[in-house]
Amino acid sequence: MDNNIVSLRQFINNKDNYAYKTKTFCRLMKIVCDTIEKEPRALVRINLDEIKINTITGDIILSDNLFASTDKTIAGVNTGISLMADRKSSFEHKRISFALMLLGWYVNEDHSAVFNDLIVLENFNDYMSKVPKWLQDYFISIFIKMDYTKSFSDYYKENFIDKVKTEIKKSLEPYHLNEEQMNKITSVIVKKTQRIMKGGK
Amino acid sequence: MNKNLFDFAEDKFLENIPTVIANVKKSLDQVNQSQYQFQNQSTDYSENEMFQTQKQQLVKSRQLNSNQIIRPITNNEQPTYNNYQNYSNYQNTQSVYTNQNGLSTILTLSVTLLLIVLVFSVTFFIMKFV
Repeated sequence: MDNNIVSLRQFINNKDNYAYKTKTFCRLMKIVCDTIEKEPRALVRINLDEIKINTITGDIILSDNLFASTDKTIAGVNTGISLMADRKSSFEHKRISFALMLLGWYVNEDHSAVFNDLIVLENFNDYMSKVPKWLQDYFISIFIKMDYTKSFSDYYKENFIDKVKTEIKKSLEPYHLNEEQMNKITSVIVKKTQRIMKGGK
Repeated sequence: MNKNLFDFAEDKFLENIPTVIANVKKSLDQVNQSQYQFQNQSTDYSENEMFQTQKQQLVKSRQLNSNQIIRPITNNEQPTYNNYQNYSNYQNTQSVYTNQNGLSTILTLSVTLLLIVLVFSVTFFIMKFV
């Protein structure tokens, strides 16, 4: 087996050892989300340990046992994810499954996916206290509003990447910087903020 | 595993962004201030330099002028930038002197001629009527 292909969990745990690095967990999850959304097969289960990544190219590799041959998922059978899955389309199931995996990372000690969406509803407030504030609206729309129109990738772009970009652009408006200068300064701000997050100055 | 990096790193990132932006803005302001001062300094310098150059030119011009007063003006001499003013003054002064001399000569000649005519007239009158 290719030594460059490791599970997502291994990748995250050994992140500092690899040449290809992902800045944050959510940034990595955006790539995973995009890959799952593009996959035409029906997703029956999702587990971080069964998703792999090529550490050289950064490509996400989804194993065959994550998918079913039918285009509908069956509640409680083989999925271990959503009790309401039989009422969902493959598209909706993908989005719920991904949200359960993402939520499990924050709320379960072993970072495994939350078993199903009913458990999420029962423990919603407790779970929300364990996830980043900016991400709470994503889980509210999926599990409370049952609004599956927005993927995690879109949510991340709108509420994180674009939010940061807009904030920087708005703050530096009086300086009338050109595009190149703005890109350089944005890069400096992001790097500096990351250093602060890691405890630097 | 660095839990901070993956668990709540995103919140920390968003929380720290305004502080970092404020610091970057402060640095930009300082850079702008320095540039403004530099530009002003360079203006002062060029003005000062210009003044110094003008001063040197003036000294040079005066030296040239003093030389020119002694040196006679040659035929077809064209004024130069540095001594034009002086050349012009010199030429004007010369012409004034020339005009004054001509006037006094004419006056002298006229008075002499008048005296001669008067003497001849008196002599003729005495000879004819006395």
